[in-house]
Amino acid sequence: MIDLSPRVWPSYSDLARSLGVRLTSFKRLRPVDRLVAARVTRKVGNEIKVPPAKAVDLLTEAGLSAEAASREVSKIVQRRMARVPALADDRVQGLVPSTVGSMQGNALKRVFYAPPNRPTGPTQPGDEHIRGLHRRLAGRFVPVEDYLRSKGE
Amino acid sequence: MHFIFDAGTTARLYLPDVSSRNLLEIYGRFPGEIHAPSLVLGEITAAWLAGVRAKLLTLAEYDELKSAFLADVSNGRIVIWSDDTLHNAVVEIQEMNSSMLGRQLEIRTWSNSAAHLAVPRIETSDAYYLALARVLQEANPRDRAIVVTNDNAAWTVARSLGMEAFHGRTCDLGIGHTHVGAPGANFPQGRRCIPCQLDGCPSHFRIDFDGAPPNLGSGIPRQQRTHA
Repeated sequence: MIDLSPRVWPSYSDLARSLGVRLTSFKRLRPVDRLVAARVTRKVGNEIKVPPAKAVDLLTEAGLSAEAASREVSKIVQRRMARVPALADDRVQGLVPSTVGSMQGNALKRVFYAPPNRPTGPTQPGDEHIRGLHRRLAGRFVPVEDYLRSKGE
Repeated sequence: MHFIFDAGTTARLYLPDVSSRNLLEIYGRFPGEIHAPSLVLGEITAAWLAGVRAKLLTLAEYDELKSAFLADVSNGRIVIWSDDTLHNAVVEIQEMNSSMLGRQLEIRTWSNSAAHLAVPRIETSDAYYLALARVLQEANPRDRAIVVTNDNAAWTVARSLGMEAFHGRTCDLGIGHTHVGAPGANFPQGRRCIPCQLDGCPSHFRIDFDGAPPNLGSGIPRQQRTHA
């Protein structure tokens, strides 16, 4: 997410909403002070934007689990990308350099295969859709496990 | 609870076999708590496409399977994590597996029967799923991260690394004995279990989510079982 346009970064308002606090209270949080001091935020229009990785750190410090923070920030970014189709297309078609060799430890970074403004078939698959698929495909023996081990063909 | 589905169990969520009964219980009860690394899309579509080439699926059915999976990702029902931030954990998993290769592992089930299994070599693709389980567990130390697989080797390696693992094909043979897969010729009522199939399956096994036993009460695959 580091190379995303600041347009789709979470704003102070987004993050305040995620934490359930008022914007004025949010701005007084110590991690926010540190962000300002580090000069990593950007002003886009009337909004102050926070780089996604820093936003995850901030939410984690405010009490969310790393996974919940990552999920929340991903949701915000995806929502904003959906409003700017050109950015979403860039993201899908672009190549992103790997972190192999440059990253210490491990991290969780949520990904979506397709931006939500692109149709991906049924929008609400859920239990009912899957049960329908199962009814139609029941009794069909497809040796998926063999194919996954390259033994079936 | 966090469930890490590998490619086999993810594919079986949509394309049913005997394991789908257990998998759908998890899917229905824990939306947003099924996780996989991003390579899962490439793996499951490759397997489904092999089914198309073998004329066991139509292209339209393949499209429907793929769309259903992508919609689940899009709706947040299945959570996908980037492979690219897991590579250090993948290397660690493979190094640990290499050092344990062939070692005998004693595994006890919830009902206290025991099995001795040799630790097999892990496939690199499987290492990504176990790496995700490990990183999720580290990120959420109070939660349980459970690997859900239909692959005997992946299940055994996960257990050898101290992870919780549930085998999707866990059944009770219809007689209350926890088991995985076709019971074999020495099982008197076993004729209708060969091949192991959903249609006519006599199992009454249900995952005990309320009691939540270790490994969700998983059966042990291909074990030589001794009763304690």
